[in-house]
Amino acid sequence: MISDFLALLGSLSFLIAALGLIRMPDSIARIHASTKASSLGVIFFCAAAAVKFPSPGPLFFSALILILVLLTAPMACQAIASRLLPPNKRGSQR
Amino acid sequence: MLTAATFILGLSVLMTLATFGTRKFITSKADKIIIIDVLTFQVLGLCILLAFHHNDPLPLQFGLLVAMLGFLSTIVLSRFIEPPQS
Repeated sequence: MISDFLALLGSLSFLIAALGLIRMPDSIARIHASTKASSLGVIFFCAAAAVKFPSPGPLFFSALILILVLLTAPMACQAIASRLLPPNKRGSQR
Repeated sequence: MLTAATFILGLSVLMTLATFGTRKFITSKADKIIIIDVLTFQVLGLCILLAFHHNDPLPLQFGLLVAMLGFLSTIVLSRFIEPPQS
């Protein structure tokens, strides 16, 4: 029951991500709207999986998915967004 | 409630695919890569919902593979964006 509610919240935040892709006018606004909302959706889905299957193996896999996504989603967002600016207007990298 | 979650997630996947096919929303090569990035996260959510429907924790491992492949494909595809000059 609780896991189904968490899955519903996660799919609602994925719907927000899809709406942000349609609604936003610019590439940088699109990547902001979509990446944050989909990270929140993955957090909700991993919490739902951890509530639904409370045994060591599925808990390990859901925690591994959550850690992997939270480590790599901002890096992917940064890798796209840093190519959208001209090279003399980027930050300290390169 | 699980049916509603599956319906909403499928609707969002269809909306993202419709954005991929429409020339009104895609203006550059970066938009396609952003859409592929969002689609991999939504497929990860579909894998976890598959585990809920079957009442079996095996598809969580598919979700782990999808998360790794999404990160690698986004990093590799982002090398193909031409940055604007000046």
